[in-house]
Formats: sequence, structure tokens, C-alpha cells
Amino acid sequence: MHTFSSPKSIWKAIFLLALASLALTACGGVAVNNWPGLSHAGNAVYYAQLQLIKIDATNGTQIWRYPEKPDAKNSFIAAPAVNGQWVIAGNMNNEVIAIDDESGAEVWAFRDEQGKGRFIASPLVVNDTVLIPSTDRYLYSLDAKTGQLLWRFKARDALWAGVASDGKMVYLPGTDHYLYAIDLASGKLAWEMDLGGSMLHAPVLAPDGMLYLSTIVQEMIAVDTAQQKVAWRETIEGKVWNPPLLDDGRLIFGTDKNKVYALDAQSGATLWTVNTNGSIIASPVKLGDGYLFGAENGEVFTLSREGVPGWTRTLKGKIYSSLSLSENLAAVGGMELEHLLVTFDAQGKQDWTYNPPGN
Amino acid sequence: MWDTIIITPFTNVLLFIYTLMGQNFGIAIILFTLLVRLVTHPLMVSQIKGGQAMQELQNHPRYKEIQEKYKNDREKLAQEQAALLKELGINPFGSCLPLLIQFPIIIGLYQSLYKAMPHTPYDMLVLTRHLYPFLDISRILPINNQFLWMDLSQPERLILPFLPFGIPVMAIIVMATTYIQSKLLTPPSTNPKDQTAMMSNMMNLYMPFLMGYMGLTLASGLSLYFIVSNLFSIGQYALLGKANWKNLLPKPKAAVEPEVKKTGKPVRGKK
Repeated sequence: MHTFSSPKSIWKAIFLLALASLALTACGGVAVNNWPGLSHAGNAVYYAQLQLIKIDATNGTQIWRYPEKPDAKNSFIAAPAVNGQWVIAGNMNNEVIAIDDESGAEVWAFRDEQGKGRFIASPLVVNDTVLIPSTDRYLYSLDAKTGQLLWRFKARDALWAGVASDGKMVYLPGTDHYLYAIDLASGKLAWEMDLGGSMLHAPVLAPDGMLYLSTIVQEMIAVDTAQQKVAWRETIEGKVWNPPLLDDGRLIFGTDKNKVYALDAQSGATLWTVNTNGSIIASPVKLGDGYLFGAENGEVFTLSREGVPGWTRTLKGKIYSSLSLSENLAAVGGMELEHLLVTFDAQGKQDWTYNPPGN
Repeated sequence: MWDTIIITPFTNVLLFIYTLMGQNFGIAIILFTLLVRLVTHPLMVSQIKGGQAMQELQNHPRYKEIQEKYKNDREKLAQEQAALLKELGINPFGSCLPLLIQFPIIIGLYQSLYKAMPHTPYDMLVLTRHLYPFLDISRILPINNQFLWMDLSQPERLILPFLPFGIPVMAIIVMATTYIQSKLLTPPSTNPKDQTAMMSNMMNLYMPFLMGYMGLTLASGLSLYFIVSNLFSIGQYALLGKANWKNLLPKPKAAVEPEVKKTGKPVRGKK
């Protein structure tokens, strides 16, 4: 019997086992950590975080969820596109799924066997075409009815941001610093420009052809798509993580450096700024006569069109997503929240909340 | 605390090397792993020496004598062994303490690799918040994950045109290097019933499969780290002359002599 039998091997065994188990739990490879993607169509809210969930926008009742049981490997994080008939979304396992809006049953699934991507960006449906960028560098164009590949366009690097389209051209922001303009029908590159930093959110396209987007080097940029040139670029304090709100000639957005901006959409001139208590990751949404913001510190607050503070409510948790449901109702979601979705009316009164049945 | 002291500095150094290396994340992982292992080299030497001293202790005549003498009195045995250790100047924790110090560093190295390859916008948000001001984010993003045939943020498979499936080359190398490393670092045991040796043998079998599974399912950047780390350990032990190369060779089987079986018979005991 060894009272002092070499502890080295025992320690080694414990060390290796601990290392391995910690490694497995630390990154398990499949645990996806992100804020929810939110869409709204008709009387429904579509919530993407792990699963896709359709919720009645009038009372917060769950209508269906896909898949029925959570599947971490095939989790969804991006807001789905809804075309009235189908709900289309990409998952983190290189698949685009179309789901019947009524029943929640799968209609078709597309998987590019060559790709190894993740669909971080939301799809855009233009007429009968689904446009969805992937981290495998490709922008996929699919037939919305069948899921058949129409064309694919290869960027220089991973694609994290959704696209905008005027029905003829598709505008694709890349993490490779490039903005690509692609012909919708053929998938051929029309023009491109280096904007000097990675782009992580979908651009906003105005009816006059002006495209608004930000880069991770803290610039808000307006691109004149007709002239194929930058109309203006403004340095901002902090990064913008979701699309800005374009409202009546004003570009409204918040940054992760606790600041809200209102810029003149034509010139880029600053109309007003407001300092906030928390980082703003979610897009602002219109609510009543002003705008609603959700902050990472759990605050939900409104600002008037002139930047005057309105009401503030505080939730336990972090707010990263927001959605306008009507002129008088908006929803917020995030991480570590008591409820997956919380709605507020224009007066700041909390309306319905959503949690999955059984929670 | 853990983030501030370990993960954030590690992540920044890794990304700093990445920018220096022409935005090649594979080279950055290799150099960063080597750098961390070089910094912890003195700890490794101390661990090896401590382990060797404990190994030698077990063959020391007085150690054996004490064991025999107090085999029925565990308390006294422990006291005498402690006294002997003190007399010989051996620190009983000499081999495990350096290992414990290395533990957070290796875990931090691993976690910083994972953090530097964001998978979601939230991961990216967290990464950008951990970057030191001297790092130019426009030069870091997008992180070029391509290295040789691999996307370092994805599990690796080598696709060959004539095969209908991909070969997990990195997972195989992770398994092989883990096995070789485990075998080389296992001290020879003179006692086949030694529980420690049995445990080591079990680990030598179990760990390569576990690490291989991780190489198969996790991002190949982590497989690259495992391989470099394993090779460095093998090199370290070899340079210090502590690698047991004989462990890699198959052990000769004990031959059973049929003659003895046929002719042998009990010489004592009841019939």
C-alpha cells in the first residue's frame, strides 16, 4: 500500500479530466448565445432564439413553434422573413427552412452541401426570391416556393448582415468592408465599394435610393446607390449593432457607447443626441409620437421626435431586440429577461408578455 | 476577474499576433500557443523534477523500509514518510503545484481562442468590448479564419474529390499526438498492481478518444491549438530527457512454457 504513491499521475488524471470537461462545457460547439431576432406580420410576432416561435400579437399566446423541441445544433438567431404564406429563416447549421405560416409545418429546406456556414443574417423575400447571406461567404438566392437555388454570389469574407433590395438590385454589406450591389435577376455583381470597416447589420434603403448603414469603425454612412458613391459619412461614438430607423428624413439609432443619435438623412448633420444609462444594441422603433429604445441595462424608454425624454421602465435583464407591433404597441426582447417578450403601449403601460408554455 | 486577468489579455495578445502575422489566424494560434507554453516552461520543468523526485522516493530503501515497518499503522506511516520527505528535501507538492498554476493559464488560452472566433453578433459584441485600444479593429475584422485547407472556426474535414466523405485529419492528428504524449510522459511502473499506473494507463486510452472527439466536433482552430500544445509537450520532455520512448513500443508478451504446464504439479497442500 502506498500512502504517498506518486501523486503526479493522479493530479495529471484530474487535470486532464477537468480540462476536458471544462473545455466541453465551455464551448460545447453547439451552445449558441445571441439575442432574439424578431419579426412582425399581420397579427403575429415571430421570435427566433433557438427555436422559431409564432406568437399572437394581440395577447401573447403561442401559436406554434419550430422545431417542437429545442435543437441547439440547428438553432435560429435571425429574425425570419414572412411573406404571408410561409415563414422563412436560416439556422446556425447551414440550413434555410420554409415553414407554413398557418400550421408551423416545414415546407422545404435548403442546404448547400458545399457550404459550412451559419445563417446569422435575416433573409429578405423579394417577390418570389429569398435572399439570404451566410457566413460561408455566399449570398444565396432561392426560389421562395421550392427552395431551389437560383444563384449564389461569393463575397470576400463571411456575411453577417442582411441585404436590402429595390426589386432590381440587391445591396449586400460584408464583413470584408465591401458593399456589393448585385443584379437581383442574374446574381452578377454590378458594382462594389470599400467602406473601410466590417458591416454587421442590414442596411436601410430609402425610396430615393439612399442606403444607410454603419461600420464597426464607428461610422454611419449614406450611399447614393444611383450615383454609386458615398453621399456622406459621419463618425459616431460607439458601434451600431442593428439597423437604424429612418423616419421622416431622420436617421435614428443608438450605440453601444450609451448614445442616441438623430441625423439628417440627406446631409448627415446631427439633429440631436441623447446620452443614455445603458448601451443601445436594439434598433429603435416608432411608438406613438416618438421612438422606443431598449437598453442593455434593462431600461425601456421613449424619446420624442425632438429627442426629449418620455417615460422609462426598467426590466430585470438585458434588452437587445425591439419590434413595433402597431402605432401604439411595441415589444422588447433580450437575454436574461424574466419574460422572453414584453410589450408596452405608448403611455408606458406594460401590456402582454410571452414565455413558452410551461415556463 | 477571470476575464480581466486571463482571458482579455490572452485574447488581445492573440489578436495582436494575428495583426502582426499578416492576418493569418492559423499562424497566430501556433505562435500564441508556443509563446504561452514557453512562458510556462519553468513551471513545467519544476513539475517534471518534482514528479521525478517522488518517483525516485518510491525506490528509496528507507521509504520501502518505513512502508514495511508501519504497514498496519497509517498514521505513523504518514508521519515517518513526511519526516523522510523533509530530510531528503522533497516537496510532496513539487509536481502538482506547478501543474495547478498552469491550469488556469491553459484554460485561459483555450477560452481566449474561442473568444477570438465569434460565432454570433453577441459574441462579436463581447469581443469588441474586450479589445484594448491599441488594437485597430478595422485590421482585425473580419478575422481571416482560413488556414491551409481549413476554416478555423468550423470543424475540419479534408474533402478529396475521389471520396464521398471528408476526412477529419485534424481530429486524427489530435488523437495521435495526445496518445503519443500520454505514453511518453507516463513513467514506467515496476509494480503491475500499482493503482496509479493503472489509472495512468486508463487515462492514456481515454484521453486520446476524448480529445479526438473534441477535434471532430469543435472548431478546427482549437484542434490546431491541441496539436501544437501536444507537440510542444513532447518536445519539452524530449529535450529534458524525460520522454519514455520505450512506452511507444509494444511490450513483449510473457511466454507461457508448455513444458512447465505439462509437468508441473502441486508440491504442497491437500490432494
